Amino acid sequence: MRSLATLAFVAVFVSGCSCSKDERSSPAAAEILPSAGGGSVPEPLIAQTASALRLTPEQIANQIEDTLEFRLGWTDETTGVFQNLITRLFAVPLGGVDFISASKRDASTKVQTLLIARGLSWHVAAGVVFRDANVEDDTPDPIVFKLCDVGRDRPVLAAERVRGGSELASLEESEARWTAQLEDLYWRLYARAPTPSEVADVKAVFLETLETEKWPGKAWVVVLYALLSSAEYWNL
Amino acid sequence: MGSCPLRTSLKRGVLEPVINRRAIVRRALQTGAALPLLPLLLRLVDARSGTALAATNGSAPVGRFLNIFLRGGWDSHLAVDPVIGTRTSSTAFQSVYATLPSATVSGKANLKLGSGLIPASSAFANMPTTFINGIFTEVTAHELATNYMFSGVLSLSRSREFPAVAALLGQAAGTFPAHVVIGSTIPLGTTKESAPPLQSQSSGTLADMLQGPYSSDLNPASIDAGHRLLAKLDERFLASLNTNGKADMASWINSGSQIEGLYKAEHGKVMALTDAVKARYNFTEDWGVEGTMAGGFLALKAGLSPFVTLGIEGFDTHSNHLAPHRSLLERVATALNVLVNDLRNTPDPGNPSVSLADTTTILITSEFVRTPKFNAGNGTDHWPSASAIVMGRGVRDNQIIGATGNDAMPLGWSNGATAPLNSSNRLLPEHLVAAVLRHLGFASVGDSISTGGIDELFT
Repeated sequence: MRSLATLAFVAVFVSGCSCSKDERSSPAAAEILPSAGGGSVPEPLIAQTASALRLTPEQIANQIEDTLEFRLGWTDETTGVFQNLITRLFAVPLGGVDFISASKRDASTKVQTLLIARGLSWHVAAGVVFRDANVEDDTPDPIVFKLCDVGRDRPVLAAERVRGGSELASLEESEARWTAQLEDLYWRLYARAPTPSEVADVKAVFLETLETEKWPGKAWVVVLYALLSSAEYWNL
Repeated sequence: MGSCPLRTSLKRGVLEPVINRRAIVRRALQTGAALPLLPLLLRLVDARSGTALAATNGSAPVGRFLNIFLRGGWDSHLAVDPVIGTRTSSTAFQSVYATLPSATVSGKANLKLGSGLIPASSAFANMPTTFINGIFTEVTAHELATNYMFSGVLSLSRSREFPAVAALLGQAAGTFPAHVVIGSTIPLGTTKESAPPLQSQSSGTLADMLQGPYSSDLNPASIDAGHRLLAKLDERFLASLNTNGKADMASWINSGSQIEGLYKAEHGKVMALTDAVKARYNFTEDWGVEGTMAGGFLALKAGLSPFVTLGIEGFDTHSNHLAPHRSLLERVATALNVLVNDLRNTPDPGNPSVSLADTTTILITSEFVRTPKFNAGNGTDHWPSASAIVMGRGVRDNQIIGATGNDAMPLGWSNGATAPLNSSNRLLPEHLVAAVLRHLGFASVGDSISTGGIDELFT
């Protein structure tokens, strides 16, 4: 048996180890997608669904693992029992139920559900950003933030654009990487590209946070928290 | 797998049921693993501290209600029905009971304590208290008996669930959240949808969730910015849905609007299990008896809801009964002392001129009591009788209601005295539940459970 500290390590750090990481996420994925800045994405892009179907916590755990390669738990090697971090952190019993059972158990969204959704989103956002921002010697690559430097790249400030000068080109390159990363996150989380207005919204909040926090990584935590907490992520 | 040193280091350690994320990170630090990002993460999940009171959300309650449920079936002979006096010679009881210490609550000659409750002597001395024994229960299967004691409705169907008294109170009062459950779950019945509680198996986890996203490493303005972005994202998503989709999202939208109020009320800050709280209740891991009891006090202090239920597990001792059961009961009793003291010294969040002890009624009970004789494994089994402790606001002090006989079976109760048991003089769970509901100001709800009651329970 391993301590629960292990679970925290597993969730936050082991997913950062490249030991068994799969290669599904192509670094070039975002490059073939329509550019948000180019206005080629219709707005709104989201299909008109017949109904919105809320995901169960079990499905969310799987989705987070699939999209962010951030495993919410760990299989005990000695017992074979999967230790689910959602259970451990939020005291939500998981596992062994089908969708119908889960739906009966929690037929509508409760405040309790959202408290857990927000808490989980915060935990995962911080874990993913700090995992990718602090690459260990044995974890050669960031896992999610592959298209930009999570600790450096950012959008260009309005004042910088007005000022122009020789640095503007490199700043715009930084913004391009930042935008590509945001698009990649949208595809990972929502299976679609962001609309231009969404990019503008995220950019505004990112810069506002950056001005306060002085480090792009923290701004990414805030942005990723919002993306993960959104109704779109938790509902099909 | 490669040679990831982290994974190697993870092979040490023992699984312990710590479910508070701050505790997890602190424990992670104690492992000595040198991970450069850990201090940053620790700051991200570090709790804010604070003691500010928040107002109750719902309509002003007549009083507050704390239901402490000891799951598994407690041993009343170690609690409110000690084997003393003429019963020491009864062969109905395991002989060891007659040798165990008992005590009388100071200044309250009627309140005799079994050995497991002696640590709570000052709690009973400092708060109006009634003990109830000999409640007749017709079911001794855990699930059915638990439902019966919580709800006052007897059902022999496992597929039917009736709401616990706190759930009924929350629904009737229209408070938000309707009620709070810490520890093991309770029957909710239809209130699961109509008046759902906030709940967690751990008080620390509940406090963390109520604090929302927080970090001493991030300016609160940054988190506010994240919430503004979230609002915009949700607005766009909802705008993209058709009518059916919008209807399906109604509960999400409604819950989202309520959650912002919870964050702003800062209940989570008040409910944080600070070092001072842990020292007072004497615990380190917040999932246990002491953490749960502390969480009950803090939920009342925060004004999160006037109605709180604590579920404490571990009383179903079918083998090796005496020492572990007594020890667990002593832990509850010790924590009860602290809790009562805290209630007496804490202003009511809705009326700071009085203390929480003046406004809170406490009900401690279990689904049934245990057999007076030990089984072959030195354990005890289920017995068709229940006991309860009622304390606090409006409770008649220094009073015993009901009794069990020399054979440990419930006696009848009529006009304040024992009588041979018959179908008309039984003390029943519905009488207790109905009396509590009426006492809390919901007479019609109480009457819907039972028009009978234990009228002498309250002043």
